[in-house]
Amino acid sequence: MDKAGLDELLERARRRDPAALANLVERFSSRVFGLLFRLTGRRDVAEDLLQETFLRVVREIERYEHTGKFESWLFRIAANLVRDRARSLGRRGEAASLDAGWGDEEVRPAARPADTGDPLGRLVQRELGDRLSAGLGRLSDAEREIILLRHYAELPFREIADLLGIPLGTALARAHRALQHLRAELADAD
Amino acid sequence: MKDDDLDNLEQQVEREMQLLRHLPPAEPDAACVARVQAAVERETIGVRRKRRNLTVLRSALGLAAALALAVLLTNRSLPTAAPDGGSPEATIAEWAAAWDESSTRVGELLADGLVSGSPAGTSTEQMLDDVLESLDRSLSQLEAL
Repeated sequence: MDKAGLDELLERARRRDPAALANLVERFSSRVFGLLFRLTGRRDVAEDLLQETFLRVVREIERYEHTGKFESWLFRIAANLVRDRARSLGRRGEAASLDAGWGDEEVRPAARPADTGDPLGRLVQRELGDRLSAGLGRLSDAEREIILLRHYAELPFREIADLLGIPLGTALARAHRALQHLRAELADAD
Repeated sequence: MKDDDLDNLEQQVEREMQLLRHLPPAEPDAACVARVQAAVERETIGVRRKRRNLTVLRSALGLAAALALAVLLTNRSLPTAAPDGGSPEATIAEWAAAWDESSTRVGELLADGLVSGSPAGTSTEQMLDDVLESLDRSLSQLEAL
């Protein structure tokens, strides 16, 4: 969807047009779910938080002032819900870390990249994907959050820094460190 | 950190981010998306109903406040002259006319279905805001007496 199309869709959503809001769910649910799933490591939790994210959109979209940063606003809601959940779990002493469920849940085979026709290539790709998934689970919450926001929200680091309330240099250094850790994890697994 | 250093670091991180291309996609299933859409639709209806009820409540409160002031006024002795130099009787009459008009319009709006639950469009909300503004003006005139 081009910018004009998104602007028009958001204007209708601000008037709480049900079709426009359903369209927003259709359009953004994959990426928001991806972020939520990778941040929490659990499909059932990601599904609940996906629904809560869009319910917040319905409740608060009137207050959203469209300046071309809808995705930043949307993914901020999703990331904050994950943080709230982590705090809530921490208070209840259930799991202080977000990665309690990491590695327990397999990404559905149907969701894997399409077959390339090269069995060895598929195997390597699958192995790499699995190692990456596991490696992500071993990053700190802050490291995982920043690189997943870049990957799923597709926001420039400057906006991610704003979203997280940190200086750009800190955001970049954190992402760099996270990616170094990921590479080290992959190397260790060899 | 200097701007050049930041730019270089950003370019380096962006290159490193290519690693995540190999991450298996994690998609919600169709049933999940359908559930979210249904929940969003229910929430939309609920939020719109709440807003409509709030609007009606505002108008009812405005009416109640105006009535209370009118009752208070009838129990008070009138000043010898209105603040704008006109006679108190004329000002009261002017206010009463505005009050009649406001009441009639509120009554029409309520009869038009705001209470019965028909969707409140922007124009209807605007009309109601106009009525409330009119009531506010009437009340201001009363307070000035």
